[in-house]
Amino acid sequence: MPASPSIQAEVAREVSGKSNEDSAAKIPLLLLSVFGAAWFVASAFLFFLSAMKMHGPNLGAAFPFLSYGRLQPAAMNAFLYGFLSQAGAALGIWILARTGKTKVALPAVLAFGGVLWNGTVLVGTFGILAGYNTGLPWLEMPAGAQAMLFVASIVISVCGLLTIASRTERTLYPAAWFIIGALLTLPWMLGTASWTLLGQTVRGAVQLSVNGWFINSMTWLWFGFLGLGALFYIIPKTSKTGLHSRSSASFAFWTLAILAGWGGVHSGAPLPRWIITISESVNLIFLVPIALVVHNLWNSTDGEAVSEKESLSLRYARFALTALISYALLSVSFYLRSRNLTLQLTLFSPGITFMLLFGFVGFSILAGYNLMLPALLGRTFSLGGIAVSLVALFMTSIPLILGGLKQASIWGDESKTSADVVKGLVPYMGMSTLGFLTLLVLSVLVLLRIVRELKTVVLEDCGCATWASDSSESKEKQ
Amino acid sequence: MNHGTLIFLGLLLTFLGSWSGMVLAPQVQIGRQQPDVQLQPLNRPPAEGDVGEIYPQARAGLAAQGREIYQREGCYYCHSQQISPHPADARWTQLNRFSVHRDYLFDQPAMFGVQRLGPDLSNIGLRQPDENWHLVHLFAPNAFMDGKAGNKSTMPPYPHLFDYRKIMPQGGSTSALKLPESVILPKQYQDGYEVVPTSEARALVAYLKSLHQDVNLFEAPMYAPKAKTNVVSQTATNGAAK
Amino acid sequence: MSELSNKSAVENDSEPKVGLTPAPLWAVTLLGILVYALIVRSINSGGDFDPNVYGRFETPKEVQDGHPAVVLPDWFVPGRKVYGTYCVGCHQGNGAGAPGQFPPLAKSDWVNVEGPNRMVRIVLNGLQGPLKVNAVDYNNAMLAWRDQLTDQDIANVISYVRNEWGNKGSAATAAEVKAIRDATKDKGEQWTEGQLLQIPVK
Ligand code: HEC
Ligand code: HEC
Repeated sequence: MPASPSIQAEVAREVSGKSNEDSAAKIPLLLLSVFGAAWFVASAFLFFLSAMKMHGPNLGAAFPFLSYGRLQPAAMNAFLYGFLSQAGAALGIWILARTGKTKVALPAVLAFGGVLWNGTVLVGTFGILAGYNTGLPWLEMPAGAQAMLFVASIVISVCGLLTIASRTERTLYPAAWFIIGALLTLPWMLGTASWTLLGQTVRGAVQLSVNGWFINSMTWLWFGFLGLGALFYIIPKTSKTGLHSRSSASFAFWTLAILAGWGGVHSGAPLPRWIITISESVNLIFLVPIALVVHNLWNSTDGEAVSEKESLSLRYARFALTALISYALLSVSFYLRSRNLTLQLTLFSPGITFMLLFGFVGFSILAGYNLMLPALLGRTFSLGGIAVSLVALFMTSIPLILGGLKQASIWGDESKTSADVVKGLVPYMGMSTLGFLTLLVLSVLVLLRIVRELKTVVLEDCGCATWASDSSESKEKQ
Repeated sequence: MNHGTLIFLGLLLTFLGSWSGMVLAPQVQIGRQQPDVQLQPLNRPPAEGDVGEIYPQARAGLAAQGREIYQREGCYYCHSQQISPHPADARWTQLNRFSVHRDYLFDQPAMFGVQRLGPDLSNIGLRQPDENWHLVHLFAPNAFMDGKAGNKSTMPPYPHLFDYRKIMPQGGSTSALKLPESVILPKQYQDGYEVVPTSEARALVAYLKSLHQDVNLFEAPMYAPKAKTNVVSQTATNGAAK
Repeated sequence: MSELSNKSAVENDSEPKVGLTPAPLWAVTLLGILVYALIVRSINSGGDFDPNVYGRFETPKEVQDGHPAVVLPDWFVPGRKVYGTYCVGCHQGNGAGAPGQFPPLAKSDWVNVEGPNRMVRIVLNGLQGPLKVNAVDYNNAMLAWRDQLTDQDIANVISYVRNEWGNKGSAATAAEVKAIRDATKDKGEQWTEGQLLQIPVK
């Protein structure tokens, strides 16, 4: 496959380790991405355990921390804050440095932020398992951890923003908008939500509205924007076409920014009707920016991949787009009140949420890892695992979605009792347990691969040097 | 869009937009609502036993502690506490009324629930007032479901809320669980042991029993009198007690 | 196929190129239509943005209609407030009192009598010693409210108690209370059951 000369040159440069970043800057990015991958394993393991509990609720009953009500939130928090957030942040900051043709700012501070973030998620996850759950979805970590997370988010976000502020390339690349957006708003969201819910404590059902706002904002402004930032970089870079349209990207960016946060309240919520009406309608409008993004990026993948090495990223990215549009189409059911009233609080919503968070954001991250890690480590390798990823995605989200539909139909049936719900869900639960097992296999494969490459690089550097000594430097010295 | 400042200001505006709509506006509009006397006596001719009550009231002592255990154990990942306006919810909860803001005034945090792998519990205090039933169910939910032994529930058991105690020669403890036959104790406890709930288990049950939204509020009237037949819990109790 | 910007193609050799195709018209139009639909829907079925319109109701009027309009007597709201501040601690929110300690006010045979004559005295000066309420014996003490509550407050709370929780009785007026207050200003101590029974109910 003939690749354009410039890209070949770049690949060559990357392989020889002479890429744009200097060695110190690599450390925080490597740290975030390796820990991100480790948290991927941890969360997949917790998800798998909690899925197992649906078949054998007595399993490990002697250990309070192994009950479903503790495993489930621990898994979710590990997945959101351990895996997606860290890996996404690493990728985002790397892309900012790349597109801005600059170095990562304050690498030591960023590394500190990463360590702080990791410590917090660790404390938070163990806190949940130990029973210090705050009772607020997506904010379950104990209040102290919540505050630390906020501080760490500021540190990471400031480093990212300083990186792009020091850019030498004036024109902001579209991918950078999304990442800047994500980094800017993360501390705002974390700060506002934990302050209102844990500090100031609003009363009654207003809590539900604030919580819904937080989840919806985080979904789009943090996870969604990180995923989009990655895709807006990866797709044009790995296909030969270039980004189809800058103005379409900017339109989608602003539409998403405006809509985020408004769509988090479900139809049956104990809140006044106007809030619900607006929220439902917004869920329909989300279709526009999503369609626009998918249209834009799909048009950018017309060409083949520039090189064999990058084709895996492109494939991951295409699947991420597919997951995004499937999510958008499925979530239209949240617009239709009669549908929403039957589907809410069933497995349908975790099903499509997983489709979005793993299928779209997770796949974008894996696509990005395939580009970033070889560049950071100065080696050519690919993570592989796309077939496993697809199986994991299908076997987790599809059974949950179908199970949700089944649950809704039982719920609407006059003659059924809760025993029928329990029995009706068994086959779906079985499937999704296998799905989470596949997810675990995938995450372990990814982590092992990264660790192996990392080890080779460290060993190559004469086995004694610290991580800081970049391969290029040591080679030059020789 | 090459200026950071532009992006910053734009995002700040959009962020403030959704914040005002979804956080500020509800807080200003309903956030300061206070408990009120429910409307029965003035609205309808007072029926026998139909007394007005200030609603909601803060949960007292044991029930308040129980709420913390409910939170700690993450019960709300499987149980919701919100009755939607859909008629099917009225059937499941045996309460023909939907939940509103005011129902949660004293719950910090209010655990609305994210899933319904188990039934909604907004009205469990009325549907199942039997303390022993709840205790046995928490101890061994898998021993019976719908009152039928051998029906496996997916609800996890909570043995750490209970103690095994040797039955004293002068007689068993009065608070020991009255276990149905379908509950099989671990081997070492089968002979001469009884199961005694800890104070945590009692608190949790007190909390469950305090859950009922059967009040007539202006914004959420009860559509029809409370369902008299209590099919689910009756059969369940029978199963538990025998 | 998109038109590629020269700048990025030349200077930005390793970074992806950016096309300058304008945002598609369909998206802009669709967004416009949907936002319009959102506004229309919120206005038409958003319950007039009223904080009391929930769930099955569509408009504030429907919520009202679900409740036959109640004309509250003047004393209801202030009376309930006084009750909630001063009496609720002992006689409870539902007027049921506490067994063996505080007698009930709901359906009490001291409250459901023709006139508020005795009740005004109880509230003004308090009550102590053995007492039979609905054939149940109590022996406790209630303090006087003479100095804390105005005539109007006492009239309101008594009217409220006499008409809440299924009670039925005439309202008390501030003038009545004042008359009794002046008449009993030298009493000084709490009433007993025996003394009260001497007082006519009306
Ligand atoms: C894994 C999900 C799960 C968790 C976690 C869970 N439950 Fe359940 N619960 C169920 C299911 C399923 C049922 C219905 C079958 C049954 O009766 O066991 C149920 C039934 C119940 C019932 C009876 C409801 C009725 O209508 O008869 C009560 C009460 C209850 N759970 C309380 C709790 C409490 C308290 C906790 C936390 C300590 C809890 N549950 C945690 C799944 C769960
Ligand atoms: C400190 C607790 C306390 C408070 C506060 C209190 N009461 Fe009482 N009340 C009692 C007790 C005790 C008795 C019975 C006295 C006895 O046993 O002789 C009683 C008796 C009564 C009775 C007559 C018996 C009956 O049940 O009908 C009335 C009427 C009454 N209270 C009205 C009120 C009103 C109105 C208020 C508020 C202004 C009030 N009380 C505040 C303790 C209290």
